[in-house]
Amino acid sequence: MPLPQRALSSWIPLRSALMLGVAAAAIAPSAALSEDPFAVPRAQSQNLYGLPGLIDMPTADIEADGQLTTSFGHFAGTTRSTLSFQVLPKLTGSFRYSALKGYRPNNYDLDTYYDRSFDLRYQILEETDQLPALAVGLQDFIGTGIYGGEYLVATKGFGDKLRVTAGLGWGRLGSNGAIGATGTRPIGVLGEGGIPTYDRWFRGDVAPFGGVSYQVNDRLSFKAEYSSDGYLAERGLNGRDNFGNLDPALFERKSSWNFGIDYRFKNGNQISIYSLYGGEIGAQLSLSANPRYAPLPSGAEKAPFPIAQRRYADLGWDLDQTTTDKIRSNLRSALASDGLIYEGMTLTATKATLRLRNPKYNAEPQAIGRAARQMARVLPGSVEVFEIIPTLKGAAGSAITLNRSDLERLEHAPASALLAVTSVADSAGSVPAFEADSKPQHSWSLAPYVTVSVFDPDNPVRIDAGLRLKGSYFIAPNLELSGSVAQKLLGNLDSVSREIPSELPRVRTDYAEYSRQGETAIEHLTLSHFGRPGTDLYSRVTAGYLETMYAGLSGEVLWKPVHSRLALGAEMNYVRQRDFDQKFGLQDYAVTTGHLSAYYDLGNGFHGQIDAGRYLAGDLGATVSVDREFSNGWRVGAYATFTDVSAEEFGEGSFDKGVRLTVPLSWALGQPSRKSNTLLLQSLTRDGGARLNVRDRLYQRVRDYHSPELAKEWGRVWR
Amino acid sequence: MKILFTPLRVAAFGAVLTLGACGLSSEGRQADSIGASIAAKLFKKKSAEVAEPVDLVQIMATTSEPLALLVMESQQITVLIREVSKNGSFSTFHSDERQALNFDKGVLIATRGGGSDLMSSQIAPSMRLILSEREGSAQRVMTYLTGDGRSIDMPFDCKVLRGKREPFESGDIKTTTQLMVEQCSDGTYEFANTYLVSGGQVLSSRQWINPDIGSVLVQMIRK
Repeated sequence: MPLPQRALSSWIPLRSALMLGVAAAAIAPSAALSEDPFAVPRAQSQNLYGLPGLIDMPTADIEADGQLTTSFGHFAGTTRSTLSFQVLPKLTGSFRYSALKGYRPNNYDLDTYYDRSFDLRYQILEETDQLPALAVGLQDFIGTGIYGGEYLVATKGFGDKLRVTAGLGWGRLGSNGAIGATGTRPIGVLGEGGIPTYDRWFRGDVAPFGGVSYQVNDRLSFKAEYSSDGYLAERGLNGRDNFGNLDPALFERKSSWNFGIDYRFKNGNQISIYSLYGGEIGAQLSLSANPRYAPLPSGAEKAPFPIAQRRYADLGWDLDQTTTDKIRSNLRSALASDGLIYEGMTLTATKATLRLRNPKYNAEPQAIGRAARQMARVLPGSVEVFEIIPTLKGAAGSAITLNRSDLERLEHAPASALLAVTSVADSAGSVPAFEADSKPQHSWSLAPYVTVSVFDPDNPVRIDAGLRLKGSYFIAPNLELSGSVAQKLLGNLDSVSREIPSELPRVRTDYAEYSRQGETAIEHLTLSHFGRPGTDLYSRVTAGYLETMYAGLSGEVLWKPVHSRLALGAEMNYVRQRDFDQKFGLQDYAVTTGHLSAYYDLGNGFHGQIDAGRYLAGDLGATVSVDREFSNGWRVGAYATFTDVSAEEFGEGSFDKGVRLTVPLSWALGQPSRKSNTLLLQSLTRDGGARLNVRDRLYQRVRDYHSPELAKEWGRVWR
Repeated sequence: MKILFTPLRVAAFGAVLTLGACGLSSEGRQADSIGASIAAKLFKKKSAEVAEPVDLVQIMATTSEPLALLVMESQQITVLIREVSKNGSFSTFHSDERQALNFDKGVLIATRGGGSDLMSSQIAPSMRLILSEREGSAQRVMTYLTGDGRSIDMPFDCKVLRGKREPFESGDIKTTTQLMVEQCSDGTYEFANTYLVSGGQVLSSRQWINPDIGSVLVQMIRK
């Protein structure tokens, strides 16, 4: 019977020391993280800002590391949708899209005001028996700042059920009941908006706030708070700056007291009802997930075949064509039964080098392990060394070498024991020839699609839906002819009525025109070549209609040694803008773009990337991105691009930035799959800092079979 | 093995993906299976799986490899498992659904296909005590996968105790066995495995796999 759960707050993260080539301690337990994969962390209760909090006020609580929460809250004409991510154990980041119906500041001509905001919260102190948890937060710290505010808050639990919160707020959170002031708070917009408003932080009126929450039982809790948010803007009382509501106030703020009831479902999702500011009713739905906890962590796919006892063939079997042909075809079928593709093999009496394609397993070590098991079942006993070379669209990835005796000896040992005796090297020079199957590699699909575009004030959510026909045909193992045609059946992506001004060439801001005229669109039609120009070098050349808006030639070279955390790349494109109808025509605008890129695995799942060069509008600059990746394929990241385009020229937003989220299908289903879905939340589509959306960029795929990535998911090698 | 699924999670994060999984493709059955998996998870009722009735007598007459019965307590089902491989003292048993259990002289060390598998175990000290029918203390380490694909070790402190000596009859096997009990705890979870040991091998046992599945009974019916 399980004992009461130990608090998660006391664990200290350790880097798992799965370094290849370390022969010592092969059988000893790998460096373990003292966490419990079976105890899914309990999601915190969210406030109307989509962060752990009371009702409108924040608390000093944070979510478990990696927790991803989506909240949809509404009251008094305001709808807030927030996506929050626990970036680091103590740091929470949020992106919020709010709609304020009836809010019409100066020069605003629509009925509803849409606002994007980013928040950060950092927990300075963790709660202990004597001390409260202490956190500092920045609300709406980039941009035009309707929700701009900062806070310092402490939260302490008394007994099992009661939690008390008290804090001080500035800006928005200091607009009711101020007890003093720390300087004056500037009100102008920095640049064209879109820049962190550092000149305001912790300045101006400061007001206290606080509240309590009471956990009645496992599901239900009650909350009460005193709010320091005066809602001045929504009530038309903020006439000093651009944000004053010229229409009648959105609601009457009769009281500073708010009350709420939370109901938590078994899966962590929550629903809340609130009584706000003396006369308003509000509600919120929060959905919660944590990429570090999966419904089926080891997957529900069938067991792999055991490492079989060796069967020896007659001496000289490797010289007999009939025997070796039979072995090749047996291995081809055996691999196919595990969802893997045999592409070729070099076979001697003592060593087999397999050229492998993995269309199925998201965890590459699992593909390697399954391939090794099938080789052990099929190959004669004298073959001792297994070398497996996975290919990526015909270009060899790396060479992973295992000894059969080690496989037999370590079949039931921890996975780390096998990692210690596996070697990964560059495959140059040892790649077996491609053995053609009866027909060349090809695939096609006809499926429905949905394209979602958000953030345009005229129509905040636009959706296009239709049918997409995709096809891919490999003329040679590393030469792919690929195309995709989409037929729009319904949607409103083209109903952008407002003219988007741009001082730069209109490299991206004509997206509505593309959607309007591209009912039947050739999304892409390309011929791509993937190569290995040399040791540690990978190349790609793509020609044709590269993406929705551009056609031309794109070339890329990547340098990445198999053990390296650093990769360097160079890409150059010569493109012309396509006609709006997305058929075969081209417009006059042509540009040469190119970037030098540096990629670095920062450790603990963090990856950094810097791309510097020339963008589609001819501007020069750099993009910095940081992603947090989980070995199961989840990625959450943010990027910002700075170019020589001034904020005035760029327009609203000052510079390009965005957040992206990738969800792997295998995580949700518990079945292996290499499919995933990426959601890109770009602040605005402008023309500055725009990069070509060419497919099959090298880094993301090449690194999957290199030792840093293999080590991360090596636990699945025996799965 | 117990399968956990959360329909809302699948719906929330897989909704757009399911569109891609619908439709036609050259992959045929493979692509359909993703759509089918999603549909099954969203709409399938959590009914108990009805295992096909198995003619044990006929199977014993027509096969010769070691066989055992596996009882999953949490789901109340009994499954026949067959040995498919022997590697030294290690043996691998598969069920008809190709879910696997790996044993070392009858002591469970790993499972495959269960969703939250026991990936490997380091239990040499416990095994020494159990198989030589001696009492004592030992530490065992059980390794699982986290949701984001990392291996994680869970160490348990265990005490091995000796019970009764009794006759044992099961299928083709007829002998006397010594009952050994292993009580383990890591501060959060605790369990007690019981083993019926004979001749340095475990013939019947109740062993804990993980907090979700709990314990399973494995009884050899032919060695």
